[in-house]
Amino acid sequence: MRRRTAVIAVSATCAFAVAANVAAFVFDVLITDAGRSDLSGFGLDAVPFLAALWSALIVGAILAIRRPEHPVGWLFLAQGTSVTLAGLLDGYGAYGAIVRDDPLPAADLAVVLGDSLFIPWFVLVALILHLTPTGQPLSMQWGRIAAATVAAGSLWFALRLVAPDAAEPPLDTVPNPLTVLPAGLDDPLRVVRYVASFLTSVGFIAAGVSLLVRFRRSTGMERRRLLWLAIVVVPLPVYIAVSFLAASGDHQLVLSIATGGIIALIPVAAGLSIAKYHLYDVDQILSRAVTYLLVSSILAITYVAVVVTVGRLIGDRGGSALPAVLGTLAAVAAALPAYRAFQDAVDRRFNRRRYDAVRMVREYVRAPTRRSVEDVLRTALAVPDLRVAYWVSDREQWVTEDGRQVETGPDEIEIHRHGAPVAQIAYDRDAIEPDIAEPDIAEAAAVEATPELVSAGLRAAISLQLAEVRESRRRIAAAQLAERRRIERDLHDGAQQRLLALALELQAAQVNGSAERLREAAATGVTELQAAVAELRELANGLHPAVLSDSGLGAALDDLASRLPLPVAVRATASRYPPQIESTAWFIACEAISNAVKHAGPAEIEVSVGAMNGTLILTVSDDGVGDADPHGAGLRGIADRAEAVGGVVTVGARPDGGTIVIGRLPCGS
Amino acid sequence: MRVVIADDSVLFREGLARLLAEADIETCAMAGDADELESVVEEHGPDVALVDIRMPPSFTHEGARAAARLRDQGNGLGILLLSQSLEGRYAARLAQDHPKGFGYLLKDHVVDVATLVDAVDRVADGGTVLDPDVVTYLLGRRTARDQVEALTAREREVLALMAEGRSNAAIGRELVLNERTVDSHISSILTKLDLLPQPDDHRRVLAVLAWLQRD
Repeated sequence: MRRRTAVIAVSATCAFAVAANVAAFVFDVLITDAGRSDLSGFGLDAVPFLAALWSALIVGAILAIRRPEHPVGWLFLAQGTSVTLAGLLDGYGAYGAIVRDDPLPAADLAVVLGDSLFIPWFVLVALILHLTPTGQPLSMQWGRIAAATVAAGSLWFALRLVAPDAAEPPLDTVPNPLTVLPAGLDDPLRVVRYVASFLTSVGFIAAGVSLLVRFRRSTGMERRRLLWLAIVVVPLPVYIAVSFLAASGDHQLVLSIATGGIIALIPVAAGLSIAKYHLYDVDQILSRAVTYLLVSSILAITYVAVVVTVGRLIGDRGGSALPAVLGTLAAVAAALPAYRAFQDAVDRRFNRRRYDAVRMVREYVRAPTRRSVEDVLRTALAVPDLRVAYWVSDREQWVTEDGRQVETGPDEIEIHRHGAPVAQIAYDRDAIEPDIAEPDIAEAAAVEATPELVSAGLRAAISLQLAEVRESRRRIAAAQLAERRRIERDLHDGAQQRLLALALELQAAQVNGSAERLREAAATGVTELQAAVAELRELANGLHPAVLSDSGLGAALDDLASRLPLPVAVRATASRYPPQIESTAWFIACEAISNAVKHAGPAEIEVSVGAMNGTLILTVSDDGVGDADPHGAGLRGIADRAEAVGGVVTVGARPDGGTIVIGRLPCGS
Repeated sequence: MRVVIADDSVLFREGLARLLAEADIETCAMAGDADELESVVEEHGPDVALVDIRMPPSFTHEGARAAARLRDQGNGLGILLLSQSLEGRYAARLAQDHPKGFGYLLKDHVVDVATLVDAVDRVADGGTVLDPDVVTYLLGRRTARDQVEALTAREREVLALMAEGRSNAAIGRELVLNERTVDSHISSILTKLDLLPQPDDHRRVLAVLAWLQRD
């Protein structure tokens, strides 16, 4: 069939459905106006039917236009049309045969037909379940079952049309014009009709089973498409039971919700299966729903069994609460084990991958091996590139188990414990077969692994600290090396050259031998030696000024301030601290000051030193341009030095825009 | 005798030039870096270039590389490399690569005018000069030590002077020995070190250095 023809057919069907809905509504208004609102079909109970017919029509229309050769779209259209037609015929029949004094033509026929059209719904739904999603029945055998269901449904439909009691209340007052068979056949035919109706129901359930079987056998995309339908099909028997009970007990609302519900849900599920087959949690919803259903039944049975048994045992003692209490206790006691057992059993049936993955992880948590939890999750989920990141809360960082920092994406699976993040599971979802490692399975496995993830997270935090210590040690070593090179250059270019030149000069004078030349060389020699001594002193001061060891930080800072070209206010007492702390504080002060002078262009610098509760606090603040980079080489270097003696350095901005560097060093006094 | 001096320290090269002047060696030009050295050599055609091994811009072995380039031009220029720090292996390799008219002296020893003038003369004559400290270092290496210790004290002195690049006559003068005695010491040393006698001083220096350098 060409698409053009399909579009025309679909449009015609939908146009007819709209017209039929409008017409049914008009008849309903006429009926209500005539004071027979008991015959009205448009109550609250019509809503599920409207939802059912329009969901079927819309999904059918989309499918039929997209894939005209696929029967399911047309089956949905037929299903929607049959519901529409039933509503129209019911309205026409009720108005034409009962409300009007002069009956409209064929109104009695419409009543019979309208009240029997629910049979084709069953048959159509059964066929849809058989043929989704391939358009073919699951096997020859299932094909025969489908054909038998169609045959039984047709027989049921035909017999019902000719039966004298075809119409249901309140339309049963209208005589059936099709009662053409002799009255003597009524009773045997009724038996045949019941058998046919029973067989149709069985066929209907068989269609649901066929879909579940197909679902279990399917993999990949097909499985994904079937998930939604499978969810709807699982409670099918409940729907059928409810609708039969409701029909026999004359509960119209329940009946319409039950039958309309299923007829509405199937197309919705099919539509979702077309549009949204990447929704991940369906598997889980499915298995959870089944588990809860089973657990609830077990609990109810336990409760009832205990209540009845205990009631019998203690006899009727005037409504004692004991049986109820014991029954509740028994049910409570059974709840958790039953839940676990069923979840496992259901997973094993419906969700083998999840079951296997969770079991492997559970086994590992019970008896951890030398493998890392990341490795176990990789194996369990069959994702070789799976990565686990651990949350280090005091650093607010995600790190790998060996302490490397990692960037995490937004859609990764996050595992929590006591409300705090523990770990994130990440893998490339696009590279994975959709069937494998669905996030819900990954999450279930990861949740199962939580205890191991927590301990791996602790290891990760330690690794991070170690990595930081190593990194800081490396930076200190590099800084020391650079410092040595600088000193070597200073010595080489300065004092050493000066002394060599002096030696050459003196040697030259000696070779020359004249008194004049020797006097001259001695004079030059004294000047050069003084300069060399001064250079050496400067150099030594830069390393560790003698005044620092002799008189402490305050004096050394005063000395430094006096040699800088800008005002430096020093506030420090004459207190002394351990030599290592003094020299670290000195280093921090020098670096922070030189950083400020180099980058911030301040008008003034303030340096203060004080001790409180065993911590030396050194503050260097400037009124420069601010915007200091705490990760720049200079500030990073002083942070490393501070950390090496167990202290910390913080770099902040002054309210007026300058920078403030605070070092806190443990000084033991 | 005309020399050029290349050193990035003005103080040092001025001082060196004055000392050489007192020893009647004319400094015809001075250079602060390798490029300048090459141009002054081209301009003045000196007998010897005294080159600081470490010069701008990289302060590694700029001077040594410039000297090697000048040597490769094959104009008979003698090279005396001056170094502030002892780089024994590197110096020995340089001497092995360019034994003719090549010298390596520590700046400490440059101050000794006799050593300086002797080194300049020998390099100008196409000889080899290796700083005594470099030789001491080479003799002290673990691979050489055992066999060197098997030598007599006198033989060790002779070996050191051979390694410095001195001729038999120079060794004799230095140690106040006659040449025959020096010859017999040398053949004894060569036997003990499993070295073959070499026809000339260059090859002898090369053989000794190769022996001292082996790993």
